[in-house]
Amino acid sequence: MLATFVIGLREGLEASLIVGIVSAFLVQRGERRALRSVWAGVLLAVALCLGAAAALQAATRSLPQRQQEQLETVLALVAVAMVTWMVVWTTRHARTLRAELEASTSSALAKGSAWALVAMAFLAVLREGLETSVFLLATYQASGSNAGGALGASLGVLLAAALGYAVYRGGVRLDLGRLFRVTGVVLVLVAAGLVMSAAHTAYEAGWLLAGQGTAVDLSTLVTPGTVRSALFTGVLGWQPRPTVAEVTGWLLYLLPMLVVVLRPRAGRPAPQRVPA
Amino acid sequence: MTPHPRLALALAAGPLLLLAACGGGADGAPADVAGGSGHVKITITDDGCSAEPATVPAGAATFDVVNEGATAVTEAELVNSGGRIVGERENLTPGLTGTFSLQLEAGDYTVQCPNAATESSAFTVSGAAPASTEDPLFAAATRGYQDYVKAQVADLVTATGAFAAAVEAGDVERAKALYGPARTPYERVEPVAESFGDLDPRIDARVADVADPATWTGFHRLEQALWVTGSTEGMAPVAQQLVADVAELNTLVQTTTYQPADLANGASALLDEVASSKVTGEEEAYSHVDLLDFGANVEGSREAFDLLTPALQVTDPDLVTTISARFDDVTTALAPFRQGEGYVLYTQLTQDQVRDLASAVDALAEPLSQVSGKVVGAANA
Repeated sequence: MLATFVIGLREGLEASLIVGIVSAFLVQRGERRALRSVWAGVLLAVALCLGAAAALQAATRSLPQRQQEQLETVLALVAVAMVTWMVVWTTRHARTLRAELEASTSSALAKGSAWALVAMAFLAVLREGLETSVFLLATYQASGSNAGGALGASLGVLLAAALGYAVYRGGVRLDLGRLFRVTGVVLVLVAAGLVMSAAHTAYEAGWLLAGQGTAVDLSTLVTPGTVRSALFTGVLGWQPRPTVAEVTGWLLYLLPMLVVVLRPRAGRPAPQRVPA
Repeated sequence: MTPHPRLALALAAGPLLLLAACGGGADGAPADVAGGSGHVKITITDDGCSAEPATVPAGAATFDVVNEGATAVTEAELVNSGGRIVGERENLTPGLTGTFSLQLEAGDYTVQCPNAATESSAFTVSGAAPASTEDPLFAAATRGYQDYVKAQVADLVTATGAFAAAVEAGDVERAKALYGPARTPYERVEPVAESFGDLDPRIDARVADVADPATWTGFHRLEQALWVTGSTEGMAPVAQQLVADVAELNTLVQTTTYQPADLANGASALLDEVASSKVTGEEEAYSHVDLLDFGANVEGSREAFDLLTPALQVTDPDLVTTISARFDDVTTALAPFRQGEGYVLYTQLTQDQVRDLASAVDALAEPLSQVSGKVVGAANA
């Protein structure tokens, strides 16, 4: 039961975090209406994944692993690009944000970015959803021999969704300036994790063969098969024994982006200064 | 800049990618690769994972990945020598199994299971890909072998039925007389029976092969009762089980197809059988009818080889000549020991006679073992 719970949690976390942050972000920008689109996108992605998984099941075919890894790699990179854009956009506009938001919630730019965020939520769910759906169906099929397994997997996915919702609620409650600072850092970490996941899946997809030696052994921290490992892998993309390629990608993304987010911005109006 | 088209694009791309993924490709092959000789079981444990068998011939292979209770390890990968993953299954929690099939090229591979105590174990793919059955000469050979196997197993069903009836009737002498004739067709096609998992052990295990003598079934269990105990008491269930197992074998061979490599490997395997258990007198430890099995093994081996000769004649006529001559030598060496329907008992052979038989078999086994390579070469020429 724990084993399936951990996988359900791990697979569900990344998507639910991105959806939670995106939703909080939209609400903070006063675009509550776009939330409905986020939900529609998420539900559509879930339906697509379940449909695809059920179709595979019906045809008694297993998921073609390599193509699925390729799909995950592409979607991860798309998500990285979107998160990056979101972070850059918020930091660039932080100075004039309030005025802009008041003036331009209906502007093309704001609308466009809202749609991009909706698409990001959709892709995040799609990325993890296919594998998770196949996994859930498999555990339910085996529930005759392992009843706890199906329960564990479902609970894992549900907990991941609950955590995503908690992030959303927390995000909505923060004041605007702090939200940007906090979500900026969290988003950069999540995106760096996506880079790491992309490096991992790119290897499994057969696209990346270089730098596959173990860079560092985190298995004491990210103990395989534990809830803690699910949190680390789901939120930060860390593997128990990340390879050189994974660590390199992570650092190359994380360091410059943290500079972008945390760089003190001079001359910002007081109301938006972030309390230290 | 109007964002909607972009979203539409993104929303449309998702299902398309999914479809592309579900469309399958090189590794999206259905689990039952036609004629795929290789079935490999990878068992995941927290200590590591191992493939059984650890060596397979090149060509189609199906891998069943089973997690029997590992909690920290939930995936297994087959990685080639270049470090590329050629097949894998993820998210296998205890009790789940996954399957992947692929066309394996010869080389050294590793089976990797991330997070296990020992993350990788060696896996070898030998030779080149087996001959395709496209070649009409090979196609004729495999069809002929299929017919041969069916005919032998049909004989086996009949002879085993008569033997089992005598056992159940408690007629020890009659059962003893019917034992040999029932063994012969089985020994001719034994490699085929061995390909069906636990069927061969149930039918043909010797007492040394079973972990628990209480679960010992099959021919040799009855052999022991007839020749050692001299009574069929309590043997009716074993006889019935044997009849059922043989019937199951009969059902299976109706639909089994063979690759040219199966014929070549089967011919070699039969000779190995002769060398390892018949020449030594181990197979029929109580009845001592080892030479009967010896003869049957050689007949089955020769049948497979003869079916391959038209195709082999094209590529290596010299090898065909050599092997045919060596087969004749073995038959000649065995001839003096014929006695009525069967052969003299193994216990009546002298050390020298056993040595002569063994050397005739060894002289044949060596060139015969080259056939599977030739079969591959012919197919890829």
